[in-house]
Amino acid sequence: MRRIINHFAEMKYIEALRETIKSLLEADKDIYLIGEDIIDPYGGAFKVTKGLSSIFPGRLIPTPMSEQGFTGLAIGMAIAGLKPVVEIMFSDFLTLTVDQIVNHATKFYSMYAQPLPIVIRTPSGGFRGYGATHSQSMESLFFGIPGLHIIAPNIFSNPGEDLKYALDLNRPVLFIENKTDYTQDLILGDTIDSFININRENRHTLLSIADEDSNILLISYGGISKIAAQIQKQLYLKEEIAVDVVLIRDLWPCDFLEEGDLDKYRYVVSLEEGWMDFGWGAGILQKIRDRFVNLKTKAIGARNCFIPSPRDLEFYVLPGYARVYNEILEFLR
Amino acid sequence: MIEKAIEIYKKMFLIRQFEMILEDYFTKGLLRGTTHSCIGQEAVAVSILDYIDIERDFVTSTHRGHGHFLAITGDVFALASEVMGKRTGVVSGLGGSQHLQHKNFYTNGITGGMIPIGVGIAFAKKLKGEEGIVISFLGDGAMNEGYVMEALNMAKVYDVPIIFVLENNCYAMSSITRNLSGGEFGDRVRSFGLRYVYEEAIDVLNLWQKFGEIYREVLINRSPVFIECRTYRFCGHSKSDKREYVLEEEEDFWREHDPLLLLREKILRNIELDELERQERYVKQGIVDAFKNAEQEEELGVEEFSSKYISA
Ligand SMILES: Cc1ncc(C[n+]2csc(CCOP(=O)(O)OP(=O)(O)O)c2C)c(N)n1
Ligand SMILES: [Mg+2]
Repeated sequence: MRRIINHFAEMKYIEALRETIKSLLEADKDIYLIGEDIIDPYGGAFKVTKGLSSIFPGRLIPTPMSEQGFTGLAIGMAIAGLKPVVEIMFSDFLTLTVDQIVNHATKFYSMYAQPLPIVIRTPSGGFRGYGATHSQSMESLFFGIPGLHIIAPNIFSNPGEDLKYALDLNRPVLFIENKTDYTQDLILGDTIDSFININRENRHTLLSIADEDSNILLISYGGISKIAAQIQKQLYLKEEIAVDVVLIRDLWPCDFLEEGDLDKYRYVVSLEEGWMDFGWGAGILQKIRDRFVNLKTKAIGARNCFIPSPRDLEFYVLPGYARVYNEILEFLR
Repeated sequence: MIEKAIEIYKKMFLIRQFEMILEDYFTKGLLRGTTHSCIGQEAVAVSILDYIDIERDFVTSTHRGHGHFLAITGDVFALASEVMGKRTGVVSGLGGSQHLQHKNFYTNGITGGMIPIGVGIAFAKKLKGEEGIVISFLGDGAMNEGYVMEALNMAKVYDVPIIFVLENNCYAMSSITRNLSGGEFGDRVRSFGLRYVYEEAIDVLNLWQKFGEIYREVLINRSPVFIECRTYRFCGHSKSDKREYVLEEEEDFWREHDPLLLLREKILRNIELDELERQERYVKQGIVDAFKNAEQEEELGVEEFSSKYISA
């Protein structure tokens, strides 16, 4: 994946998460981190919690390999007044936690009006050759579950802020990180390359070409936001097509429509890394079409296939830059 | 017996060399993705799998499955191709290190997930009155997954022809498993009413003999047996692991009890060093060549891939 030139590099995505977790642990003694291999010296499979167990003894709870069990454990802790933050090592393993999240946590929160501050953090996504069971974007299983909140940060704002926000919601939150984002520099300034403006007034982030009024909208989230931004830039430089990009951080429930004004758009494209059939884009575009009848829409995402590990095939199945660029151009023609 | 000992030694040597060359490729940045090597654990794979007939018996393996695969097939070229993503790989290069399938051999990347499935295969054999048994490998970490416990219960309840082989290498990734496990595994297993056997994977020939007895027993009696094997991995959990968590006393113990070296010493009482070294060089060269040849192969093309694997 090509890197986006960034004039405001201050912090990497992983550092922002780690710093936030650190300050949260400092500020609130009810917060506990729970997960496999999260303590030092290992510090987590992706090293997000590296160093923290040494600073906060007893606050990071290493677990046996029992994803269903320790997700339930955390829900119990939340009922009893603590604020657990669970790490599921790869989002692929969320499959093992589904019952505790869907049939227990969300039901207590929505049916018993039980305040339930529990955040389940997990890295999604592929492009790294990890193969079929370690590359998926498993959040797609959870869209539409009442009582659940799904958040996915991206590199165009501080993921630590999202994590704080998630904990303050007092409800079950699935927090979707992305493996390819951990080592990225955050882009926290107001512009990219001085011609793309960044507006973060809402819970979503708008990237727009300066001095252009666009009638094309590209919506995306999470790790693939990087590609969305790259495409926006190249479409403008190469084809003189101005596209607005909206990066959504609250994936579900989806209140983007109440806040945003879509009247000016004629075309809306959704881009997600997960499977596109019956995926996030399909859902959000349907909501958009219900309200704005004159729009043309297109969903782009992974092809309907397991994720193979060879590079070219992985980039063929997942929505890599080249494919997305071409598909958008074709759609606009 | 000496012929058998040499045969087993050469299989172990092949697996270890394969894994070392593979780790070397990763270290040099020549491979994408990740891999889990079994350096140190070869004895378990070669001794139990020496008995099976992969057309008749089934084997379910784990994320750490190279040794199992090689003990069955010896096909270093297919495995090297697979980890390189080449079309000549075990599953046409599509699965990578931890997603392999060959005849009745299956692995997957979800720890412990294959255990209920192994029980199911054995149950089907029972229902259909078919010959053969199932060997299901698992790690100590997997012993704490709920579905693994559920599977042990069902193996007993449905009384199916399966041998569980627990490769207890002390660690689950960076975790010392016994610190995160209540009680002894043996007690857990026995509490389901299962027959439980404990072995140390140090004296390979002894292990080979014991496995043989159990294999024949299950083949005839068709009831489940659970074998816990104490073993050790000298390598990291995966390609990037620096092994900062290892226990010194375990490490020291196993450095002194490396089953591969112990067997080598034994063999050298019967054959000349020169001769053994010649054979080792030959095995090693075969692996080096297999990797080189695999490098020359191609990935499956997009068109072929999409016509075979993508539904509209
Ligand atoms: C359900 C699930 N949880 C976590 C992982 C990540 N993971 C892969 S292997 C492993 C440790 C497995 O330990 P063990 O079962 O002892 O096998 P070993 O690695 O020692 O061979 C972990 C945590 C996974 N692949 N699947
Ligand atoms: Mg282990």
